[in-house]
Amino acid sequence: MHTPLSDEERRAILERLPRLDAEYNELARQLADLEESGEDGSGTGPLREQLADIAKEAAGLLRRYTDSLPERPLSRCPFSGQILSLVIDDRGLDGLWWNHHAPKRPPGRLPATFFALDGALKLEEKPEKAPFLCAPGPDVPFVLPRLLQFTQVRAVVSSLKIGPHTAYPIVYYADPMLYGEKRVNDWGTDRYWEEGNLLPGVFGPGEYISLTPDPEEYDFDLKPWIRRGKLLWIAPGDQRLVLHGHATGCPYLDLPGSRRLKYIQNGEVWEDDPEYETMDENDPAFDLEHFRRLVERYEKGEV
Amino acid sequence: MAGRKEPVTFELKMGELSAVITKQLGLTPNSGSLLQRAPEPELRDADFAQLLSDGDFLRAARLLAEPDLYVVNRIGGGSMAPEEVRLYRKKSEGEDVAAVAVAPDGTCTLQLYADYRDYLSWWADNFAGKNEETMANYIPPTVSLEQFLIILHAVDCYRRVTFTNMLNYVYANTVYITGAEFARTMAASLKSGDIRWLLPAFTAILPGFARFNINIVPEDVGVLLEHNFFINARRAEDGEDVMVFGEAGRNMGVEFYRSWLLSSGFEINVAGPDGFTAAENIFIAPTALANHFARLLPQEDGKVLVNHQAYTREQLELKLAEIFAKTA
Repeated sequence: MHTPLSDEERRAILERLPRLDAEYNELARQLADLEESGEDGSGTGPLREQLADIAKEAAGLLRRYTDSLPERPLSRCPFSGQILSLVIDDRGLDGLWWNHHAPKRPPGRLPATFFALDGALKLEEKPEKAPFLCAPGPDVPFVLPRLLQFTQVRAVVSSLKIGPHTAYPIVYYADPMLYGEKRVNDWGTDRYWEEGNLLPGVFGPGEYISLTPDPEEYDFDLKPWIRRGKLLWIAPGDQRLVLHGHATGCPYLDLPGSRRLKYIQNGEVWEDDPEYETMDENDPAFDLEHFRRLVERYEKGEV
Repeated sequence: MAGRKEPVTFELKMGELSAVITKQLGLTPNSGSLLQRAPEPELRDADFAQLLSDGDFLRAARLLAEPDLYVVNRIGGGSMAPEEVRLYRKKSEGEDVAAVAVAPDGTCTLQLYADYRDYLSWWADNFAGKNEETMANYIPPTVSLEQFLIILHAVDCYRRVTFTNMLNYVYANTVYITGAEFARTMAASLKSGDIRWLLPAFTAILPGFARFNINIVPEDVGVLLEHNFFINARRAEDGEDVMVFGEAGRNMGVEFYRSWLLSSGFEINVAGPDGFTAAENIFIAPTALANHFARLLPQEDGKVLVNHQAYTREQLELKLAEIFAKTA
């Protein structure tokens, strides 16, 4: 049931949950130490009670948060015409919906033809501060040719506001459904749910898969894909979600902005730089000092 | 669809077929059977003993007389005269399907296919577009039937305007039509029944079309502007409002002008407690670029939506197989 939160309530919940998380982790560490030192049950009892209280409060706050999220119709299947709705936090990137590693996302209404959800987001002002990693994609919409190579797969790009920012969900649909092929992580997260089975005999059907595409996989030149019928678009602000198959007048072509994946944490924004990924000691451009600094930041948990 | 089994074929006059089935075999054709409308059975001295001892013929006869599902498949339009094949299935007889086509001289070709997939495979080999690459679908997946008719006429208009310009020795980079001309020619087109044009072909080749109520209102034309079939403009020489063909109108117009030769319609009828009802109505217009597939979706309020897709041959075959499997 959708029960909206006031700005103050939302802020209070989003501030309280990380504190509870830290408290919980600290108490859990203390409990582990006690248990390791051979403390019998009487000494750990109060700690266990505290942990249970924190877990209960956190679960209540999380439920309150997820119950507050609105269901937004934001795409349409190009095969059936059915509308796709997501229960999404569109008030800002500080919402737990956008937590890259531990997203809190109630189920939406997905057509049977839904295949994958990706997206892009352009920051229109300084991002909201949140302690978790947020990865909303590049500034401008794109497609993954790896997915569109399948005859039965088509994508739809649309637009909505996330707080002051402009977001571009890119939804892939398949008819007939394509099983056993790699998809892509759900927009902003490090995983997607695979209904089928990528490795029959190794894994059972139904599992989380992590698949972040290589930067070279992204294609930002949308016009050829529209011309081939592989990409359709919905005009920004169109409440009827009318699908368009023509390239003329498409508002998502040649948008200004960075084509690199961006990451946000504690208000800081940085981009995926493929050059750092392929540093080679024999490359004259290799900067050892920079590499060391990057490792240090990584070890401190800043990256 | 590989591995198709060729059908067993029988040829005889419609009156003879009717006579054999009703008089010799004693079967009573139900309301789905073509034989209900067959001419009075003709009995002549011909010897049907060979037919009556042929198991395939006897099975085909039972399917034809007492189906629980029948399909009307019309083929024609563009540059092909219309033809009609009817398919008959009876679940208790297994997967076999009897196909019947009646020539203008009354000769009836009765074929027994191992199942509907073999018929669809034969149909696809002969009448589907062979394209393997996808192309843009300029028509949203669902529009109202009225909007769909308007779009079909817009596609026809491109050819019509091009022909008119050629006849008048007018070379124009910008092809356009006035709103009044569009409305006038659409009315004439619907009235004409001339299946060389896409709009009348749709109304004639789609079995069951006459059953649908059509109520076109001026607002329906908006679909042409919204989806770039036309762009509103003003003629420089006299200031008259015109509609210039946009990306969708131009591309579909050229596609159909240059490469549309025929179309097909399917109506799948299923037996129920109150007789047969149409479960599916499908129209397919193949071109060099796509198989334009239109599936009619009747709504509870009596209106009808059309789901249009531009399919490759593989997609078309998969979709038809899915629809037939679901209905059967």
